[in-house]
Amino acid sequence: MAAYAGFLKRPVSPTGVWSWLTTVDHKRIGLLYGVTALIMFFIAGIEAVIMRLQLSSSEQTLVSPEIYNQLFTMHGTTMVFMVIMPMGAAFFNYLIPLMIGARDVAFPRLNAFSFWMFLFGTLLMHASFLTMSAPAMGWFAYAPLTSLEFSPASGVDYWVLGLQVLGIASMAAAFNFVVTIINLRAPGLTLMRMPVFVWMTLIISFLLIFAFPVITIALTLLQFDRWVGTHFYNAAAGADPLLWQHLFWVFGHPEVYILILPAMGIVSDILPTFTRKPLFGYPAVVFAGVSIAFMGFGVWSHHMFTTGMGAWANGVFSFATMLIAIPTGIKVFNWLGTLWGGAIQFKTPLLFSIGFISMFTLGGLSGVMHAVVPVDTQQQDTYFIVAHFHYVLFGGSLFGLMAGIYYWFPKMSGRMLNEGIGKLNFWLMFIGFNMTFFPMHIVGALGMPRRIYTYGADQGWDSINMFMTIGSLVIVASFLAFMVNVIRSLQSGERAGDNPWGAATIEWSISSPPPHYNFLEIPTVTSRYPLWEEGHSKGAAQIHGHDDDDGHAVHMPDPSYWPLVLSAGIAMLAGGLLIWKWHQILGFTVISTFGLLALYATYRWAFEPVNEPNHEEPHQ
Amino acid sequence: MAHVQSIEEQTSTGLNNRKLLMWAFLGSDCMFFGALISTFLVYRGRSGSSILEFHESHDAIKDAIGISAGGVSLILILLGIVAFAFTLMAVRRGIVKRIIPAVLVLFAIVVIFQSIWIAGHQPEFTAHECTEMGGLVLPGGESCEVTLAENLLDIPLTSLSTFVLLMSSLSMVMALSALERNNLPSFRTWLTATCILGVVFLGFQVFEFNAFLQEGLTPRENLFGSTFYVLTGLHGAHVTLGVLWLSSLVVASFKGKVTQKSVLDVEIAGLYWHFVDIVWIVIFSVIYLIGAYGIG
Repeated sequence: MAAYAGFLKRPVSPTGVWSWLTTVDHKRIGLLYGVTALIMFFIAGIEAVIMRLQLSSSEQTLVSPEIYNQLFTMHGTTMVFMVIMPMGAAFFNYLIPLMIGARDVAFPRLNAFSFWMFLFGTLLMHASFLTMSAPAMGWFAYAPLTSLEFSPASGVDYWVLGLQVLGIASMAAAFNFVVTIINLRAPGLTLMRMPVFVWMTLIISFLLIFAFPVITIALTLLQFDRWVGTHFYNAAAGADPLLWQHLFWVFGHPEVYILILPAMGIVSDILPTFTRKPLFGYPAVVFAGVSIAFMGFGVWSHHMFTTGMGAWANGVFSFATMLIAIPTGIKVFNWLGTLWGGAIQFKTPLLFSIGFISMFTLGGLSGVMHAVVPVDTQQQDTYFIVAHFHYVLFGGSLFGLMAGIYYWFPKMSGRMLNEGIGKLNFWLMFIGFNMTFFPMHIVGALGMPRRIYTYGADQGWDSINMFMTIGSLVIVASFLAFMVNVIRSLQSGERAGDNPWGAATIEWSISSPPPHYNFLEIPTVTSRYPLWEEGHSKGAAQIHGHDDDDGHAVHMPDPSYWPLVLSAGIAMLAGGLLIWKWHQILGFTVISTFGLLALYATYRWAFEPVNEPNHEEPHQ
Repeated sequence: MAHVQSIEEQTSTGLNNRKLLMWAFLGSDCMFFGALISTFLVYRGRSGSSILEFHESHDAIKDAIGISAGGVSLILILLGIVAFAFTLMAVRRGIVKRIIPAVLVLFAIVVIFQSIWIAGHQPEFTAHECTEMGGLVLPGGESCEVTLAENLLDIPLTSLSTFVLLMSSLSMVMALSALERNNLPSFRTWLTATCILGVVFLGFQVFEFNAFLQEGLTPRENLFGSTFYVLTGLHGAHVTLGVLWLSSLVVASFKGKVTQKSVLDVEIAGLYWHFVDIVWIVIFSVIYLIGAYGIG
């Protein structure tokens, strides 16, 4: 293979910048995902606070209507595609191999590729701020509003191409995790012994595989409309004005479950640890997740009740939507059943989990309200809807993900987060969240429309909006508490040890942070809660992979340049399309150059061995 | 391709990781084409009409060299078949220095053939054709108001290209089977044949696109144009990717990188190739057969 090494030698360094740029280690990729998602969370949070300040009183002039449109569009897009999804991905990447007893994912380089695509997609979309025309059409970008005629500015182009690149990232990760979970389980780890988080990841991966191609097509058609001049969304040429809405929501509703199921998995794994009893009705929780995913493909039109689809379509989709409440309710009752009679320890992860269960239930209930067509007709495009989806996405997904961070941070960093600050973080977030979003139900019912940059003083919404703005500042305080906690802990946190919580699943049997090869010896799993079995004292299974052994016997995949180069090539194809609109020859040059680069990287990747035969293992 | 394996000594299910990945990808690709085909079906019969000028037939080739474009094309097709046979023979015997010229000649023939039809040949468009296409001769008798849609489709021609693509699936099967028997020359020959048949299919597609453009159907003309070009074009992109993949395997096999150990690599590429063929059967039925015969 030496003859094939070309101008780039295989990267070998275990430390430094290059080791991160070329890493194929699922734990490092997980951390990269997590840190990027937190940065994006910070940016989306700033956008939200600016919006809240603008709305704090009537006739505010803090931002212009144009800027306001850009703020809510980018806030929504960022939170969905660049915060909650990648934060879920951070947990999949870091935890799945540890939870199933594998040394890495099935395709380590594909995993690295997925992260770089995600990062470049994020950068591409945010580059639109530099042109002073960020996307301003709402996160679901209804065509024909997004057609060239109504949105001539380049913001939509950045949005479309950024989302295409992010889509490639998600799909690559989803293929990888389907194969990893189906094929790389440790001996004895049957499907029905897997931690619920692993189950939910498997379900989400299938959702991504089947839902993302639909948005890819919707976006591709929009690209053709905007670049070539086709008529897919041009009603004047006979096109269906609802085509985009259908394609978007066929993707968009499964996407909602892609956002919430990781949190459900995290909470289902945290509750047993802090109640000291197995999850109540494990098979019911798993199958409820599977049926939510199946039904999730058959309810998309409940986002479109007011578009005049007709009574039959409305009736069927209304019924299907209410049906989803059943598996969701099963999960909620199983979580309550797990808490019931448990030896509960109110540690921060459990507080966030209980926050998740209660807030998600509220969001779910308002969701059932929207399933009723006449009610939905009243609530469409009001703040009531904003309240609903923040209860499921913030109160649900984000509380669940926060629970996950507090729970697994010790495993990832080797240090505990401070309990006192953690509780402060939780209560600030819980109170701030409810102050901000509960009153939105009320103003929504009073008729305040969403996506307006201001409102008249005569509406009488001033004081309640001021209250909500104060609430959003409390959320900011809670985020600051979280940052302080993380920084303090990384500098001087208490050492975690292998299994600080006395948890039962196998990721807690290895050292914290885990060695790069995870398990020195692949464990054999005999039950759902192997570390709670007889003969395993708390934090047992010490034989599996410890630092005192140097792990020389374990062959791990070598780092590689090609995932980074290939994703840069593909991202710049998108960049070339943007340049094309401004200067065709330059755009063509960029597209062909980076197309060739991507092709070259693909070949190098395909012919690159997993391990270079002639050099030492990079890690010690 | 022998080294792309990841951690795959044993798997929980016994299924190979990469093969499972390919199946998952194909499942995903079903949704990709499903969304496109649905869009095509939703937009059937919604296209607006165009106004076309009548004109005489014109054959620049005949003007230049005295032989009609059709005659030159026939000669080129025969030459192409000869070049096809030469390529396969060179591949079979493993004479690398003959393969490259043969492929180049084949490629040149395809390009010249296409150029002659694009530049040299322009079919006539008269009041008779106008009414045959269901159009309306406008007052003055100079032009025709007609909806350019399924009435443009040439079923016999596309049946032929469909046959070519299906035969490429057959040769793909033969290639894999030859590799399993460790018969490398036979493997290369069949795989090269698969690639060439794929290219010929793409040639038919370029030919058809050009014919439609000459008749006035662009992607911007109407909804049929938009949906037709994007759906068949994205399928063509899949075929192009497949040709690149398979021809890389041929090249790699001459470099000794594809051997009997790589049966799985070839099988996975074959899965993709067969899938692309099957999708074409659906597209052919939906656009051509259902469309041209006015079913549904």
